[in-house]
Parts: sequence; structure tokens; C-alpha cells
Amino acid sequence: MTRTDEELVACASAGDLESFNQLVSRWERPIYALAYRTLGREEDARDVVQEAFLRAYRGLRGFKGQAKFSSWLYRITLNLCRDWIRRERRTPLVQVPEGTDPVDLADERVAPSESVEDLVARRELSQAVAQAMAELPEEQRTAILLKEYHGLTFQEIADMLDCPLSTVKTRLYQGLSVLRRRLERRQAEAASLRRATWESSS
Amino acid sequence: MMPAMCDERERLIGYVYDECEPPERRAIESHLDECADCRAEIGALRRVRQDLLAWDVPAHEPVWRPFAPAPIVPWYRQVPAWAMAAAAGVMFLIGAAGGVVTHAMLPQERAVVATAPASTPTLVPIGVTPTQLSEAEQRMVQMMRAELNKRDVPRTTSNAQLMPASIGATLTQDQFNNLLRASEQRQWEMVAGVSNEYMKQINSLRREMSGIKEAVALAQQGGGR
Repeated sequence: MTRTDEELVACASAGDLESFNQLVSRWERPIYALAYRTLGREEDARDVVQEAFLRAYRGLRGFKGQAKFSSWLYRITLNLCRDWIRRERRTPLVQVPEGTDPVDLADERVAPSESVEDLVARRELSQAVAQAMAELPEEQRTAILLKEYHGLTFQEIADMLDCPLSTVKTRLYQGLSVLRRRLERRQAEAASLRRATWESSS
Repeated sequence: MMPAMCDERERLIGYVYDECEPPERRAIESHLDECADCRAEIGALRRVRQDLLAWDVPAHEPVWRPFAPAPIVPWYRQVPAWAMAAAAGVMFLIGAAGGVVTHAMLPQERAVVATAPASTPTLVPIGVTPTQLSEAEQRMVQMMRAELNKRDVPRTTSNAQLMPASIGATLTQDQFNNLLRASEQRQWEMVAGVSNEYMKQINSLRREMSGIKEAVALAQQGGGR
């Protein structure tokens, strides 16, 4: 039977490393995704995730279950990302994925029926979203990340960020509005570029 | 009276994420029936959400290595330290009791083998009490421990250097302890860095304030003349 996070936390804080193993394997992917999308670089995300789990282990005895374990872990990760950005004195990066070789791309198809053109378009959109997100103010970006990619409720986000629920909604709305304008502009630019390329080749 | 929805578009967010109370939902739906602008806004927000799904996280190796299974240790290694100490104490007492019995039974002259020299030199220097010496020793131990901790994990040590590199590898207790120590040290360094920043800001504000005070004093002196 699968044990709950709370049960695993209780065992891990009593020194059972196998329980901590299970917590790590359960939460490593979402925590990595949060760190990667916040920092934009794989090596940084890797370091932050390892540090987040070490901090969590060190703080297990102090964790009394006031919040969900996942919320607590997200909060540790976000704090570490914030410190990381402050220390490096830089805004989040957008890492350009390597290789646009169609052979490489073919492995990334979400469905066998997805054409290479669709795949390239999806990749371009992915980069455009990453770029637009990196340019958002930190509060808006964090609210969107937690809502869109981790499915937290407004209340959970408000508790995690220590702000009123209405502030969370405002940040989400403003963030999505800015993203919308930027993505529409980018798509218009891409369309005019394609048109120009087509006209020059014909 | 409810304010116009068009002026409070943040309210649409609850509707877009399907996270609003039924009365609020009904109010928004009835507004959307009449307002084309807000319908367009909802559509645009949903399209952005759809676009956001395209942002993938690249495939990556696991960043954490699982702990090595607990080593199989002989039964005597599993006995707690206090029990071992108690057993050693009992053995010592038995030995001492045997010695006493032997001493009582053997002739007197054979028992006297050697005696301590009459003038055993004292280890405590003149003017220093044993309590002071013990305190000094404790301080020295603390200093050494702090120094050792610093040396143990150099500032530049990152988790990547301490975590086993190969994917199939496991994390031993020693490696994990090193990771924990490095993590603790980094946290202290971070706290020290932040405190330093704050102190710098406070000092800079203090200098500014004293400059302002001097300027005000000079101005007052000038005005007085």
C-alpha cells in the first residue's frame, strides 16, 4: 500500500532513510520542474533541487504538518531560487534547447501523428513562452508557475506566498495579460517573417 | 450593488480556473451573456493557458541518488553504546572484586609490588584552578571543532561535487553527512551575506542621516546670524 507523505515524513524524521528516499522520488520531478522554470538553466535547477531536499531533511523534525509536505517543499524551493537569483544578480535565463535536427526532433513527438512542422512550431512556442515568462515580474511568474504547472489552488498559493487571496488573483490576471500581449506580438512577428521568406523564395 | 465586471476583470480569473463560488459563477455567466468584451477576454486568457502547456521541461537524469541499503552488521554492533558501556562497567567491577578477594587471601608481603612515588608532580600550574583549566579546555575543544568544521567542507564545495556522479550509484551515510554539512555551511554563509548587506545599507543610511543633520545644523547657524 502506498504510504502518504505525512506517514513518510514521520518515519523519515525518525531516521528512516528509505522513507526519505520515497519522498524524494515522489517529489523530485515537480520540484525540478519548478526550479527549472524559475531559473531557466538545468545546472542551476539541479543544484537547487538537491539543496531543497537537504534543507527539507534538515528541517524534517521542525515540520509539524502545518501545511502539506509538498507546499512546504515548494516554499523551500522558491526561497532557494530567490536567493540564487539574488546572489547571481541576474534575471532568469532562457536556455535554448540544443539541436533542431529533424531526426532529434522526431524523438520528441508527443504523438506519432505529430508532423515535424508541428513539432518545430511547438518548440518555438515553448521557447517563446519561456522567454515571456522570464520577463515577467517575479511575483506574477511564481503565481503562474504554481497555478498552471503545479495545480495549486488560489488559497494554497496565497498561504505559500504569504499574501491575500485577492493578490494572487490579481497577479495571475496581470501576468496572463502581459503574456498574452507578448505571445500575440511574437506570433505576429513570426508570421510576417514566414511571409517574407515565402515571398523571397517564390 | 455589484460593480461592473468589465472594471474588475481580476474576477474573471476565478471563472477561468473554475475556482469560484456558485453565486459568483452565475453572476459572471450572466454578465458574459451580455458583454462581448469580457467574452473575448475569457477566450484570450484560455488561449494563453493553452500556449503555456507548450513549455516543456527538458528530459533530465534524476538529480538525487537514493540512499544505499543499510549495511548488514554483526549483532554486537547493533548493541547501543550505553549497553556496551554498562557491560564494560560490570566487567570492571567483577575484575575489581576479584582483585580485592585475591588481595585479602594472599600473604601481605606479596601484595605490595610497587607503590607510587611519594612526590607525584601536580599537573595544575600554580595560580590556575582545575575549574579554570577545564573551562579553557572546553573553549579550546569548541574552537578546534569549529575550525575542523570549516576545514571539513571548503566554501567551494557544491552538491554536485559531493553527490555520487553515476546514475545507478547510491548515497552512503558518510556522503549524505557531507552533503548535510555542506548545506548547513552554505545556509550560514547566505545568512552572513544577507546580514552583511543589511549592515552596509544601515551604515550608508546612517552616514546620509548624519550628513543631513550637519547640513541642517549649518543652515540653522547661518540663519541665526
